[in-house]
Amino acid sequence: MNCSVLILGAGGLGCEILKNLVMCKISSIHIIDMDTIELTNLNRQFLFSDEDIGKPKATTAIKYIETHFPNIPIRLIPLVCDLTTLNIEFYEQFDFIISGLDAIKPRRFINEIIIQIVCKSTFEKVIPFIDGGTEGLKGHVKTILPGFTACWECSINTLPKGQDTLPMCTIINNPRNLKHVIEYVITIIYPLDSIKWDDVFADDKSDKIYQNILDASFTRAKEFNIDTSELNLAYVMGVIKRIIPSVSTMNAMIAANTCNEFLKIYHDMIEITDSGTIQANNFTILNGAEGCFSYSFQYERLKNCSACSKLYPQT
Amino acid sequence: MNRYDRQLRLWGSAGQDLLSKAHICIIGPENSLLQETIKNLVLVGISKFTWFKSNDAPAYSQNDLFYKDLIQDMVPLNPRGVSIIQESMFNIHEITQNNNFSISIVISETNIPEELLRELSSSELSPVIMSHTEGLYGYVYTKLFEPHWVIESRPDYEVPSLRLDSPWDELREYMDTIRFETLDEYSMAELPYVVLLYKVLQHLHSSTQIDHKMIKDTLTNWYVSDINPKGTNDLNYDEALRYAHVALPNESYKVGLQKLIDFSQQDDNDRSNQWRDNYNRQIVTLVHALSIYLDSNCGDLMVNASIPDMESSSKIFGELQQVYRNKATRDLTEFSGVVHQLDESIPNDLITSFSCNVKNIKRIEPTARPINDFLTDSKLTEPYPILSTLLKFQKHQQVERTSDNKSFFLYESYPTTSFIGGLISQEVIKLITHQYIPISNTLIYDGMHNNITSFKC
Repeated sequence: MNCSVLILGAGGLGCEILKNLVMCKISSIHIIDMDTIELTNLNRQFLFSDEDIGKPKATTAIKYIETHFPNIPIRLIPLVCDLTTLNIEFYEQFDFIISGLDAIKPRRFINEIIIQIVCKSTFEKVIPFIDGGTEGLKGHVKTILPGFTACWECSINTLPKGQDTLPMCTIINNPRNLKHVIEYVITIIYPLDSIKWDDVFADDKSDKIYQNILDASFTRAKEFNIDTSELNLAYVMGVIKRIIPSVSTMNAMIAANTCNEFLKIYHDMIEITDSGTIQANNFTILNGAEGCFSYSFQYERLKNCSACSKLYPQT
Repeated sequence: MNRYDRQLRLWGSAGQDLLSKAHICIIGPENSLLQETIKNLVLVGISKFTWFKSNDAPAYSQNDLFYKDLIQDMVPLNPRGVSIIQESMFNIHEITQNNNFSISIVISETNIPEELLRELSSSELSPVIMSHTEGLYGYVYTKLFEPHWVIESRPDYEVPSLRLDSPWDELREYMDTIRFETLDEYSMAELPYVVLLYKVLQHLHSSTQIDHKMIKDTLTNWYVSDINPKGTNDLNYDEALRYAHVALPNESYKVGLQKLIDFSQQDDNDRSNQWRDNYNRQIVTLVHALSIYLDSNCGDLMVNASIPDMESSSKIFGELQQVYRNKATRDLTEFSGVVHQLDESIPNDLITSFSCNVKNIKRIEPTARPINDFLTDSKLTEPYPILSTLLKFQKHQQVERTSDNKSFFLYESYPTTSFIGGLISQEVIKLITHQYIPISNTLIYDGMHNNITSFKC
């Protein structure tokens, strides 16, 4: 397939998407990720193994493909950097962007970029943006054709509210469980914001920091008579890093869904009506906790969307 | 940190332990669906496979496969080691003799032993998952031979049972030590909302039928009018209004639970304790013990040790939590006694888990039809044209291209095999861990419309 695709993220979804696109024989694939490989990635990021821990994800993923598919006629390019530092000229070169990111900020950035590209080219260049996300046995896929469908920003209100809503009063005066205790430790005693993480990783001091947080949590929990039977390093990390559970199975399903969306657009199987709207479901949610339930629907554009309303004639 | 940290948060170490001991049987040719399924299962920590490999795969060439040497390529994915024993299809009768497989997965294959197809020795058979994909379409079918019991179905939300309407002595005594007339507005703002709800119920004591609205009205017309006029902006008052339903006796689970108790007795009679899966046997014993426990406790379930977080001072929340914990410990001790009278071998962890999840227990009933009917009885699959077409492909039958099925012929979709490979392995995990609710029992994936249809077949 003669086509240039950019994959955002080389994590659980990114590895799956890369594999699927290689198997679909796409002519050019870029993959971008600024992270390095950690042990807890290995339950799903199957292009990496134990000896890769500490190496950059994007280059390691591409290296796996190159090693296992020598002489494959695919242009494969890894990028190890923050995607929000790249400019519109960089993004213009792609025909598709498929995303397996876990953060909101870079998705909003990409959404803005592809809308700008549509504006700049006066609808000559429309880069479809297909976004996948998972949380445990649940996931979603959004297909965005800027100028034709709802954009990523249009559906931002459907995101679950963050857990950052614990009142400070609870954390400081009335802690009742381990989460409240740890939030206190990482806000007041060892404020995470003030830690220079680059230095910490350079000197390999992160274990020491987590241990200090754990010790302080034990002390504070005792002080408030809070049960510590579940308190350990994994629990502390879960709270600090807001860890989202993740498993290979749902990752594979959501990544596959994003790639099928890509195939359908590439093969022209999504119809655009005369009025310029898309006759296809652009929003899919999947839940595998009880049987396997999927719901696909057409998410409508938000008329006053702060990102994409500039693409439409004002009425 | 643990390699499996991200999934341990989904099913805990008990679930992971079951996965690491599992032995999976796979029947089928080496196609991408089979590779994807094995890859996902190795990643979650399963290490033992027996693969009855059929060579019946004319359509698949090396170019369609991601792994050129599957067995070798799986090694780095599980440092404990991966054993994939290849067996010839000539030995496939071994599946039913000497069957110690946790699950059998049949992929794109129809050549399976008669015993499996016609359920000739059903008490010996492990669950079978069958699947095939073509183009943008795929199906997954699960055949159980005995009821599948789940303790940790893990619903997204459940209403806590706090027994405010039927308090035990210690709870009543604790609530009585909190007296509004001795508290100022600041102390009242620090009371957990369940205390407010309890007091409302006491206030309404003479009323025969208490409903949701009466509780809310009493909070407004009594608590913040007469008792604590400055409390209208308190967070605990807000929470009391929002969670007013927690004060009402929640009986809705009782019907479902009684059904499960009846089923467990029926299962026990049907199988005279001959369970293939020991986990199922243990749960049936636990449900039996539960019915004995309920009879001697006026139908009250074991109290849960943990209560939801709520606005409150640390001190009062801690005290209240302790009251529930004490009762939970006593109930659990009594229930464990009943369980161990029936069967001493049931582990304490399982009893605790059962006790915490008693309202979430599920039982999946096997379908009566043998696999052979699913494969050959066209009347069964007639209402589902996608499924009948998929089965024709799986059986290597000639599929005429018509206007209805033309989208099957558009192009190959590797992502579809990857999707179904993910789905199969997810169902394997649910069946092995006895956590979450498996599909029951047939599912069709339509990648063209992003649709999933499930039904019983």
